[in-house]
Amino acid sequence: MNGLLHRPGARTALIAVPLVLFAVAGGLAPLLAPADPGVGDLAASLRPPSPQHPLGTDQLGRDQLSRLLYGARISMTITAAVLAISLAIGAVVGATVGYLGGWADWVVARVIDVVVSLPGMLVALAVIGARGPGVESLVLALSLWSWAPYARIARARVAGMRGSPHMDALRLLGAGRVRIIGRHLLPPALAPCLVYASTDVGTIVLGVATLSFLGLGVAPPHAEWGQMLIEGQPFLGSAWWLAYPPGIAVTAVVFASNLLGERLASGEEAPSLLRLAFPGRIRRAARSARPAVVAEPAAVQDSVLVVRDLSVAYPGDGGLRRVAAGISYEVRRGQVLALVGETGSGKTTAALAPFGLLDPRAVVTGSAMLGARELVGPVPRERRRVGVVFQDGAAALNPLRTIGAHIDEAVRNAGRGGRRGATRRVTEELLGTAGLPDPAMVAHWFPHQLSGGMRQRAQIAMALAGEPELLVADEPTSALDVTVQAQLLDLLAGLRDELDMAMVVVSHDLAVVARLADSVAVVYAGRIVESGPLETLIKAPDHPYTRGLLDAVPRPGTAPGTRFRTMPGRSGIGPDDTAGCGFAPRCAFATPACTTERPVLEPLDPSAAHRSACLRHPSTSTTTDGTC
Amino acid sequence: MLEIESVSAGYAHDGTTVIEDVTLRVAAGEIVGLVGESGCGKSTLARVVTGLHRPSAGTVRVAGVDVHALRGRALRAHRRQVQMVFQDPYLTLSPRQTVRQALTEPLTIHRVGDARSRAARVSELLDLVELDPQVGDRRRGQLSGGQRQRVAIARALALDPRLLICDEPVTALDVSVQAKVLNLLCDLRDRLDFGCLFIAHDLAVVSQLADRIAVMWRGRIVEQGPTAAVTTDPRHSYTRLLLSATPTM
Repeated sequence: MNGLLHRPGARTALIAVPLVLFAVAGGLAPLLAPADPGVGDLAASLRPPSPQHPLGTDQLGRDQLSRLLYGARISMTITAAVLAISLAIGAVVGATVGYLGGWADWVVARVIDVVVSLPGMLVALAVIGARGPGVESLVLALSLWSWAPYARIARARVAGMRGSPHMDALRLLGAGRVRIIGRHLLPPALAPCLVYASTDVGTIVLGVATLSFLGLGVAPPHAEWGQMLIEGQPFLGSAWWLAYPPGIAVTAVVFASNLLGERLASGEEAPSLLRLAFPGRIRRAARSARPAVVAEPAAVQDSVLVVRDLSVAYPGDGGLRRVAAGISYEVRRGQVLALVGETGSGKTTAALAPFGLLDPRAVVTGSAMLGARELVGPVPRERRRVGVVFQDGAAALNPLRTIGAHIDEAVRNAGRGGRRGATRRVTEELLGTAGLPDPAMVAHWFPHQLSGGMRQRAQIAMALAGEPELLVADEPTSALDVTVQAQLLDLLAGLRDELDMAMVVVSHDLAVVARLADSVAVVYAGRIVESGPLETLIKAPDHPYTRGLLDAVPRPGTAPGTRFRTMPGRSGIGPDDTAGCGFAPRCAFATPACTTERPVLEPLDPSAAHRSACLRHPSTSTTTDGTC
Repeated sequence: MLEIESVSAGYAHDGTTVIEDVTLRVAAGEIVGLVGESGCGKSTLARVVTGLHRPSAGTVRVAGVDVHALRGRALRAHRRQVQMVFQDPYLTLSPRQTVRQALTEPLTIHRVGDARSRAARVSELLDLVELDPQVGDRRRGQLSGGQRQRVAIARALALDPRLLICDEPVTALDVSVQAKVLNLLCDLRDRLDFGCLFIAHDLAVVSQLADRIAVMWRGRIVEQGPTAAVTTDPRHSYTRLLLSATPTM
């Protein structure tokens, strides 16, 4: 039971119980109600709760439980009608004008603004005043002011999708407006509307009760919660059972719908809450996942970062699932190490894990020494001495702050600068170091005013603010043009040489890092399969996967129509998905042993600089397969 | 197949001209590579060619028909001839549709065949782009980047277009996956004989794939010619810059 309650879905269901209960009870009222809610026995008026009348009787001798159940039926029916009408009108109007844009959009947007800003009760009173009370007037009055938020939500959702490639593709396929709106825009627009609707249920139930209480909604003798409240009001002191049950019912539905709406709206937040709730459990699991230690060579003298046997796991369905295992690498002062691999290979995980920059659920084990300090474990992390540059500069910078403000903050955090003017001087100096022309002007710009290459330079300036010993760059040039990419790689190479900085660069493209890296580690299926000096790796690769990566690089000057050399199969497996070599299923050299025996990183030269994890070692093997 | 005649285009809201006096031809069965940096107007040209954007001057003819002279139903019918593969297949596929539904949609829109023949055509398309039949039941989120782009290519080919515009189709893919998708495009061109305008910022990719290359710079085509001529004997300084920036091993 305890475990069930901890499932987010179960909790959401629990919150919805009062709503479902009253909806079902209302629907089944004719079957559940012990008596006719409209027929009273004046001889049995104002009786307290008893086995015969579980909630007592009112001043006319009518069974209160029956009236409560029928009241639920009326409240829920009216609410459902209002919701259906306002959702349908709101979503269709919002999605249509959101897609069409132009003057129609402008007009509808203003109408929505007006309706949303009007006090709803006033609108309802005006409508009922004009039409007279009754169920139809009530539904109309409530729908008239509840459609607008749905239209606003749908319009905003659709407006964000209007110019997307998805819509362009549909237009090119010949899809008309009706199809695009009906099939492709309404469904995604409905999702947030439904979330809002769950909160709206409470508002509408309350609205119905309020209007009935004022005598403008459901007229007597129909049982309705608001109506019951008004009838019970004179007897609050003497016969509490008249007013309390409908009051509690309204409150329960309103509470439940608000909580449900809040929960549905937060949606994705669950994981971080999970971690806050059960840190102990995850840490225990981490301890049990510690793998066997493999002997590693001693670290070289001037190493800035030494990573040994690093593993990263995430909690999944069947316990922890490792995404990187047995990762060992080191970066020396003034050297660039490139971690190369395909999407999902674990290369970014391997680069960011030592600095606690992964999802908070990640369980990191092993060792990562920055100088003399251990980074893995519960001690506060030394992040300041490490600068990080992410792939997407637009996402890494706050769109509402200037470039200068970003870097000023980083400078202050690093304890440099001091007064405002002094801080800005450091900022401008950093922007200059990152190769941005006219730093004083760029500092006043917002991220969207910069090109992709300039944003990456701004990120680099920010990373340099703490005078880091190590710079970690995750696919720093992947989103850039080749010419801009080349300039940025040259900048990084320059920083390494001038500041004698150590760098870890993550990339999927060996050709890109070849311009910058001193050494390379190739990551496949969460493990390093080959590492060594750049020259050796490119001229004499050993691991068949490294060879495949090199072959896939297009070469200018090749005759047009030449087929690109590819590797069969696809990646996407984890480090523990096979007992043998992760690459074996795609490997041209694989033997039966490759699928059962896991190769370890073995030195290929006396200095042990070049290492490869392959049973066959094609570069040294004397038995050639003809494809070598 | 495609004739672009002195086309200029811009955006009305800020009055800028993005492409100027562009003339380019793509023959049936030919792959023409269009190379240039981001913001040079490549994608605007693609939108003009497909009819999504109206040029301020010049004409675009596909199979002899002026694309921008068409309206309404005639335009939609004509659109079968020209299809496009976008850079990010993740954004062009609906998260709600299965692969099969996505591939059936163009057939439904143009009322091609009945339910059974459409299902057969979808299976044929999956086979064409070398995807397993069971991939057909997956949705966008369950596909790898390479598979997504294959689905996007299959959808673009569903109506048997005579011209395929590829706007940076492999830029978002891993190098190893990129090579496979490019091979596929090459094979499909050989089998189906469509003309292809292949837009990229990476000269290395284009030079191995295209029969001819056009280099675009600041909204103009500054150089065009057979691939070998452009890559070995570049005339324009921007082409030379592109060549020197191309990562090589």
